[in-house]
Amino acid sequence: MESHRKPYIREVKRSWWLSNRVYTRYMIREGTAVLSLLVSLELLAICLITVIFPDNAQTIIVTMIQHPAIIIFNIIALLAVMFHTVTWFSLMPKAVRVFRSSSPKETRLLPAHFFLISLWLVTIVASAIIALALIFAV
Amino acid sequence: MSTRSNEPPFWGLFGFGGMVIAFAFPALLICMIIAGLSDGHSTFHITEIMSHWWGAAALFLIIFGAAFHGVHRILYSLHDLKFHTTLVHKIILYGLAVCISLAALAALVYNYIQHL
Repeated sequence: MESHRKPYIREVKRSWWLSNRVYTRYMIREGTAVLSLLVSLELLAICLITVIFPDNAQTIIVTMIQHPAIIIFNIIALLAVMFHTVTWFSLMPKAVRVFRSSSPKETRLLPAHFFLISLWLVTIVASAIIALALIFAV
Repeated sequence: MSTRSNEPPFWGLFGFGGMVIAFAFPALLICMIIAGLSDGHSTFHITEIMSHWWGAAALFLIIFGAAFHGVHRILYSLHDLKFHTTLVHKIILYGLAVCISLAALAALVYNYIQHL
């Protein structure tokens, strides 16, 4: 048996996400992953420098992060990562549904601001630990 | 025959990495930018941190999480950009994350042993 129907498939251009600000924002959010991957490569490079140049690793790493290209990359990456953090936290209450109590009759979910406050508190504490560790080398 | 999806573990790593990036990357990058714009030697003691077991472990988890988060999101964005993704794309991208993680693990463990 043969089918001669010709289903209509609407054409979607590769630039579909540029036509609408919400779509553009979505693609920029997904695009932050490229920067995250590059930062993980940057951190890997720091790890490898300590192995390849064990005696003057600290000097080489500081020279590297003082290079103008690396500074510019780090600033772009920081902007992307901040966008990731804000969007990641705001989608958390939509992805993780937690009820207010374990009672089977419970229908109320934990409010979104509960997630946002706790996630930002963790970020502040983690940031303080990272900054103190890097500056004072505890 | 079981045809279970292999998606959940990768999605789990994506979620873990997303958390790690959100918690750690802003502070790390701000410290790197400040060190890059200033003297640097007095504000960025990364090699000293890496010589502690907790510093090495934290740095590994950050690199590992960010790598898997990055490749997973890139894989799904390729579809959004109308590239048909196949097993080859998955192997290349997740393979890249595995390579980054293993290289970081090897370097951090080697560096830690040297400082014992």
